[in-house]
Amino acid sequence: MPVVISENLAVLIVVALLSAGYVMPLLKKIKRFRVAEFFAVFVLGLALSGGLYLAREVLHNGAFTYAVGGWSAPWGIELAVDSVSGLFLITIGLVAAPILLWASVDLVREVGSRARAAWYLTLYLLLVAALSGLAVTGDLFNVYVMVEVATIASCAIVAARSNAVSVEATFKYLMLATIGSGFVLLGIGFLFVLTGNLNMNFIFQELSTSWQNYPTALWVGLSFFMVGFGVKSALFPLHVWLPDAHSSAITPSSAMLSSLAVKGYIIALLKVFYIAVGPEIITNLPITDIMTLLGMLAIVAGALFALAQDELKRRLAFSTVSQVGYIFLGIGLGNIHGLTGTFMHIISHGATKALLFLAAGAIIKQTGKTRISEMAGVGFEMPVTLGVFAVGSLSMIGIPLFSGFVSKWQLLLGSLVNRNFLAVIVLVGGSLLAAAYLLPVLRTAFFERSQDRTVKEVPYVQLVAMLFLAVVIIMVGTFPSFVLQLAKQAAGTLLGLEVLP
Amino acid sequence: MGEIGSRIIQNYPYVFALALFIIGIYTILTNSNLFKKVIGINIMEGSIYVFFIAAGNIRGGVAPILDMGEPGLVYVNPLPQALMLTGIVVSVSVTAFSLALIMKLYRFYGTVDAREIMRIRSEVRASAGGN
Repeated sequence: MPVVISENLAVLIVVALLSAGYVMPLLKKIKRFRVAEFFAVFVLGLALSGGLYLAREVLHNGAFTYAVGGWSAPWGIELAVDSVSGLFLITIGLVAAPILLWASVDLVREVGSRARAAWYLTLYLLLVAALSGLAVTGDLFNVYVMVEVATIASCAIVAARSNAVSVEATFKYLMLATIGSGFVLLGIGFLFVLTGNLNMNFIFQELSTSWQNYPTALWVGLSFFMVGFGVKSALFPLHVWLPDAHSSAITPSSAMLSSLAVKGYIIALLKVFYIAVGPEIITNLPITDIMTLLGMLAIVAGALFALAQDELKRRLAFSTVSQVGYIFLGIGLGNIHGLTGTFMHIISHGATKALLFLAAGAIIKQTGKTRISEMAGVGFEMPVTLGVFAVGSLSMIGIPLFSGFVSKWQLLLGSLVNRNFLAVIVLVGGSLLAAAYLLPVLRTAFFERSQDRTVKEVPYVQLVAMLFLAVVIIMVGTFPSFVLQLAKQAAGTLLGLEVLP
Repeated sequence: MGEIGSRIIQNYPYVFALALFIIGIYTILTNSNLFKKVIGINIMEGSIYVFFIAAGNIRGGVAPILDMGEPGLVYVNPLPQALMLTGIVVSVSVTAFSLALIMKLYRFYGTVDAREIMRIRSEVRASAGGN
């Protein structure tokens, strides 16, 4: 790689995604629209390789900061590239590229016209760019801008198929997400008033010497962040927008939103809480206890709601509520194992939920049936799709050799270290509940006779996309060393500990 | 009045911002008219602008244009103002987007009342379940 590219890679990833996004509407005139779609997938692949390169750099040489435009910190905008960014960039690349590859087969038919499909690609790449921006940013100003871009883009891709249900879900999502942005912005305001800075490192230095003078103001500001990011990442009592938005959108949007968009806000929350404010202050305030409690509530309540759904995509949407609970539980535990579990779950749930949504979308597209009870015998007609669905389900439940096991193991270790036995029970119970809401799908698909034998498997491009995600899940589950090392280092970065490579 | 009263009077822009914020949130959450929800969003974001501008302001400060001639001048921090300019742009685009969505909703349901839309949806669902 040329030095010019490798030195500026952190900003180039975001810039490449943004500019590719804005080129898309120009490509609608070319004869074969598939070329435009494959170009978008190619750009996402480039972003993935950039992310892998940065992750390797960070793992070997440690975190670094990048001054945008050569203006250093107090005047310019600073990007902070650490293992958190590396890990999230890898997650984004690994998940976003196969989803778009899957979507490329019949995107034009799904959204209505070529022009709409081109704009859809724009929004998709904008969302990915904003999430990558959240991964590398070291500045609250940038956090706000990226959060807003991500919010509007993710609302817009819900409304991509413009029918009554999805437009209404979008409106609800937009209203709640905007309230969330308002809270986040007010939180940024509090940190700015307290420290006079928006750069995370400077905020950390200011607060570490002076926070005892105004703990109440800090507490209020952090609660604003908590509520704002909680709404956007669908933390349990604030999740009301998620099931409608994620189940009424077209399949690639649901997969994208469930697997990546909610995680972007969690990464932002982690950066604000642990890098800007610092682990010492966070553990002194009751905020981690609240997160543990809400996380456990989310795991149980989300899974119970999921059990009650008969519509496959709605069940998967509620399952996201439950899995976000695991991520927040890990943050709440606040020790190295808990946070490692959080990061592992971000990548594991990202790949798993994307795979499950894509498989569900494939079933719904080929059979025209949306309810689980109608899916009798689909497994015989679509063996590969249901096979990867089984891989996703096993990973979601947390069976060894699949990625879900690695993250849940770390979360279990974290709760045992904290002697939080309620969390242990909830973690195990959550896995059982996940089995209860995912395995019936497989039972209906494989062990019941179907009446209609005309259903065919999806085109091979979609199979390749789903198999890729399945391979990612199994690889992370069987050979976790690289990702686990990265996740441990990310957790160590947040806690201010040195983790030996 | 006492100490708290005089503090509130000193920091009146913050109290004003807080009141506006609560009015905005209240409007969004309780009004069933979709247009009024959008207005609520704008009121809420307006309150945040007030908060930030008040936080960045210094009484008697001037715009931060480097002027070598006069040394004793106090400059206002431009950072919150830049952030709020971004915030205004964002809130304009959110408003435009939500108005476009309301237009579509009106085309689908023939009303801009959230409660009415819920009623129509549940009726549609009930009749679909009955068949």
